[in-house]
Amino acid sequence: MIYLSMTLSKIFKYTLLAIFNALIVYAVPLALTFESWFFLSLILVIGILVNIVYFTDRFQPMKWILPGMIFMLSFVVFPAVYNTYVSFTNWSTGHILTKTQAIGVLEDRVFTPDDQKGLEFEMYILQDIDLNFYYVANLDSENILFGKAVSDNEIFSTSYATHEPSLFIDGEFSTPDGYYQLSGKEQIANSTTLQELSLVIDKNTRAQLYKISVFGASTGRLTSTSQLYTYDEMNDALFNNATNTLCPVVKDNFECEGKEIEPGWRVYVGGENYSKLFSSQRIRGPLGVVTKWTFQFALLSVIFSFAVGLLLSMILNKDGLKFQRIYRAVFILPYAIPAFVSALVWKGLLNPDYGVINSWLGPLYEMLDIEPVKWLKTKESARSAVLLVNTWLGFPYMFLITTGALQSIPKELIEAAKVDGATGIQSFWRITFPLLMVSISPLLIGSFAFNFNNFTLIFLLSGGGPPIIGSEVSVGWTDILISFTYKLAISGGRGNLFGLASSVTIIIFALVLIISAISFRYTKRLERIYGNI
Amino acid sequence: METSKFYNWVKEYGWRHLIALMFVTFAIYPILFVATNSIADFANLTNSKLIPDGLTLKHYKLLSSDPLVPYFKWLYNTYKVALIAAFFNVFLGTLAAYAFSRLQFKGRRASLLTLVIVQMFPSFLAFVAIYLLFFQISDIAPFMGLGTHIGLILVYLGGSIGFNSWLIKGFMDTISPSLDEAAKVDGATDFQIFRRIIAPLSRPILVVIFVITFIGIYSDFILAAIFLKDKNLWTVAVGINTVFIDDFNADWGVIAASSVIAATPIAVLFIFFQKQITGGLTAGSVKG
Amino acid sequence: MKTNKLRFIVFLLMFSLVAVACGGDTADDAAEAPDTTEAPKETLAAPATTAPPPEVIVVWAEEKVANALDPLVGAYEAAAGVDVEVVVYDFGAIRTDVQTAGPAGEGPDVFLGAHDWVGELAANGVVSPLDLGSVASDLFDVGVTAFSYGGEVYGFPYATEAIAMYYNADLVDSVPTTWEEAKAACDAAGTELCVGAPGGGGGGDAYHNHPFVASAGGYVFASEGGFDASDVGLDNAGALASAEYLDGLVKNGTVASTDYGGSMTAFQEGRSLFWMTGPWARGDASAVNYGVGLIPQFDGNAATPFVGVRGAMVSSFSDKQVLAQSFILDFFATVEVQQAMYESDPRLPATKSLFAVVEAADPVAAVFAASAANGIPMPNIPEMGSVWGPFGDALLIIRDQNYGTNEETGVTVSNASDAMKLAAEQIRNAIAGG
Repeated sequence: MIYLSMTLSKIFKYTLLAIFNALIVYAVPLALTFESWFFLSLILVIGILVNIVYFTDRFQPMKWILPGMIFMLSFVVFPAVYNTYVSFTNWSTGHILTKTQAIGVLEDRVFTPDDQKGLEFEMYILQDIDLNFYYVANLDSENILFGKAVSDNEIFSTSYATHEPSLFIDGEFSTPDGYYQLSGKEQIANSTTLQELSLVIDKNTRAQLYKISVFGASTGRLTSTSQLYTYDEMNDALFNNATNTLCPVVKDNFECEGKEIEPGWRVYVGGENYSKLFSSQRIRGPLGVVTKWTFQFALLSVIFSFAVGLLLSMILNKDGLKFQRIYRAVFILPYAIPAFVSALVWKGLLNPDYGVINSWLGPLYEMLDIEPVKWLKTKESARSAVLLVNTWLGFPYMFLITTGALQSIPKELIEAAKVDGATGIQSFWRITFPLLMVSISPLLIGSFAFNFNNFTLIFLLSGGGPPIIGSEVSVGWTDILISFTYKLAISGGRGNLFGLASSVTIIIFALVLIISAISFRYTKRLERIYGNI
Repeated sequence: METSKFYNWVKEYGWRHLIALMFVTFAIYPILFVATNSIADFANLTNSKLIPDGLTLKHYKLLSSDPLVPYFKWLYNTYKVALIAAFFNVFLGTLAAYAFSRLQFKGRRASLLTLVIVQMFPSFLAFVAIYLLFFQISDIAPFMGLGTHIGLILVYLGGSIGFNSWLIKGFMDTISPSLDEAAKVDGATDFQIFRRIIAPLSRPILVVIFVITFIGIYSDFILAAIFLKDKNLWTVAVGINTVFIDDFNADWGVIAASSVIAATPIAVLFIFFQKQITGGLTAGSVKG
Repeated sequence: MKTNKLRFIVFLLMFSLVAVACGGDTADDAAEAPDTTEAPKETLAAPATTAPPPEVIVVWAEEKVANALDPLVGAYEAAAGVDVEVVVYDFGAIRTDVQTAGPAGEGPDVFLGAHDWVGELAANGVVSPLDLGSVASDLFDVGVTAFSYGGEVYGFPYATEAIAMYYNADLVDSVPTTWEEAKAACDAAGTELCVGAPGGGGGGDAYHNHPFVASAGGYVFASEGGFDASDVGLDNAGALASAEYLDGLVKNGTVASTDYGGSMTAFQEGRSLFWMTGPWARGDASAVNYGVGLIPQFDGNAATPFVGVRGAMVSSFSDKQVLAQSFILDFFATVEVQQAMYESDPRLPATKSLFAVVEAADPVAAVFAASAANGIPMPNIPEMGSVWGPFGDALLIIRDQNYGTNEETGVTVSNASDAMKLAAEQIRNAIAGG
């Protein structure tokens, strides 16, 4: 009976949910088999959220928001959380692996005596009727060694290879009876097995297959019977078999006789990256200049592009204006060129010696009798250039947004103001602009946040330059916080400092958060005055 | 009479044309530069001349006929990914915006702000994180893993709420509540109100969001480069960056030609979309 | 109320249904891969015919090299019974993705990259040592040195490159041996600019500027027996003298203040007589009738450009180490493959056998090779990351004559020596990790 009360849309909804849950239930065991922890935790969170939201009536609005939020959780929040986690680790060059992975890499190292490096000899791979592999290593005419190829755990229980000159007749290898000789192709088909096997020559030496040749004889190498390093779980240390030394763990590396062994691994370092930010003179020194400019750059970029965009949309917002469509299409054009192309094009235009900008301004320079501006070479010119280009890149967006938003302002209001005797300018500032700000201001804040971190533009246009002379670290006048972070991260002494860079982004986010909070408080006041919420 | 007519024209329209033309120059000059470089024999960014010495169509020829550069496949991929992703972006953003605009609930403003602010996180390692995540997805569902357009589109949907919702919500707020109240009295459900009244009336802003999202995706190459490994699945930005930009060198003629080809449909589409953006709201169903 | 109950029932029902439906699938996925061993028959019998699925070698390569490899790997696939999957990668992305994808178990077996990544990749444990064995005898030393790090060789070098000097052959016959003569040649030819070299004009570029500080005893890191990050030589007497000499060349107009694009345009438009850059620019240079010579000497010392080397490496996260090594040493290293790659991307050959072929056919390549012979490989240790910024900045200050005082720190850089001293100090600080 109850089923009758279900409408078609409900059936549809439950079918969708059923499919969704089926997918989740299907994916969870798979994620477990593949040990995909990131994915597993994500689908669990999403699965639980979806079921709670759509099976109860408690969270009505979430039914509308959740679909978009799932993607935000996956591709915005998850990376942010990951970034935060990394900021508390030593993640950097030499420390990108987990400890298990690092031990794995180290245990794979073989130990070849120096005089054996680069030496190679012919090797033949045989197989007997029981599928056991045998190696023949043709070291020289005195040492034609033959024996069973064994894996590492049999290495000390097997007998040594024997000298078998009879395997060569007139210098040609001939397969002994009862064995099958593997061709290059067959060796390759078995290569993952063969690479684990060795021919034991004596207590300390073994021969291993090194290069399978499909065009001639394969070759082998001599190495020590022991791997270079063995991990000693009891002492949590690495044993160096070549020197017979124990290499203990020192923070995030093994250390053999005071020397760090590469690779190290990632460890949790607590607030170390953060305290380094505030204590290091290298970082603190230029931070003031960079922070100040970051604010100026982001703020001015928003103001300029908004001003231009608004001006243009106001001008075109006039009935009966000819070529309106063409104008609008032209103003959107800068937007249609991929930003990385435009940034580089502008760099060319701004070239002080050959660029078009200076050749255009040439007459002006002559008229005013001044030196041509050395675009991008001096502090002021570089900063102006960056702003100019960012205005060019940004105004089409503002133009689009304001054009759209202007439509939502009722013409009647403006007409009414006109009837009341307001001039065009007065009605703009009293009615149009405030109403516009209500819907636009969050986007301005967003645009501010975007430019605050506009790495691409700075990186492509000026590279942060020109350099600030005499600073503690390589930094330029147009570097913003995020590009400065990038420079710090890639020039971190021993390579990349991902942990440190991540901690800077957390601080940048905190800054953006505070600014946004203040701005939103302001816009709230705006909204209260002009209604709408 | 004549002069005053002219004076009126200047006062009403003329000055608008003047300013517009000024900015047309500003907007279009670098683009003209791209266009002329696309037909220059030795295309070069620091060219001191707008009109180059030797003219050629070789860059266009290369894009259209070089078997190693499946340019039109890239173009198709770009438009496919960008159109689908932009559509769902708008769809998801609109759903959320409806809740924020029409449903009464506690912490409405705060949650919208949270969404907007979360979007501002400057994750230095976002790409690493997304990469790792999709490795795992590739194991379980290869059809939407790394190297697939579906996976890439999903990532682009990460930005569907937040700013987009805010903008759409702002627009929806200006739609008179009396309309949906009336519908409610008639027994319409939320979804019906959304589908029949609010969404259609929000069309202008939806078109704007669509265009913005489309263009953002179309010019992205960082995410796309991480995702798409098969040359036949690349987007234009990935292809151009991988094939024509080296450490010191970039083949500007080809890059310019490619930009011209890829940008033209956008410009044309925009001319058609304009009516949607600017003409849709005269019906008078708006608050006021 | 009643609907709530309904929802719950539907929910439970669905959950159990799907759980049952999907239960079977997961067990299948745990199944082991088939064993690859083939059964032998009697002596000298043919192998069993039930072939296991072929091994797959995944190779990451940049566009041009991949294009050259693609048609050739078929021969190896047939001979070796493997699948070779050449993945086209953005060159720079190979460096980063190898480090992300490898540890995540999704990386390549073989990848092609630049020698100056080796320190970072080895420190991170993502690249395996590659003993070159008999193919080493066919390689130029500079290539092997470039891929050596911490006593091991990590790659098979297939191409080298170094900058030299292009000249406009319509205006001058050759590149003079000294900078004074170069200046005189420019004066005689009457070009607007003399030598266009990247690294000025607002675009810092330590790579192109290296000869200007390293030709008379300066160096980035001491290079005896591996690069030593604790010995920075950018402010030794030789480096300072060279930098001051460069300062003079800038002041008297020999070396123009140009970035890469600027120097290229000037050369193409015939406005500069010389252009200092590498073999990759031959296409661009062909806008004029050009020739190539060695960079003029510094006080009797040959110019020492940075040498970049590219090579094939084995990922340490590949589970087919022997196969990957075999692919490189047995196939990739052959002269046919090397030549095909050279034809697709004409850098300088790293093997003697290919150089013999190229030298006769292409005298310009021979000049670049001679220039590289005077150079040193870019340091491949991870500390090099701390060098590019400060080094490039210092040279940019000299090239653009941008001397001055920092209002914040009060530090004054009034000449070329100051700039170099400051760069050296910045590098030492960075390496010390302060």
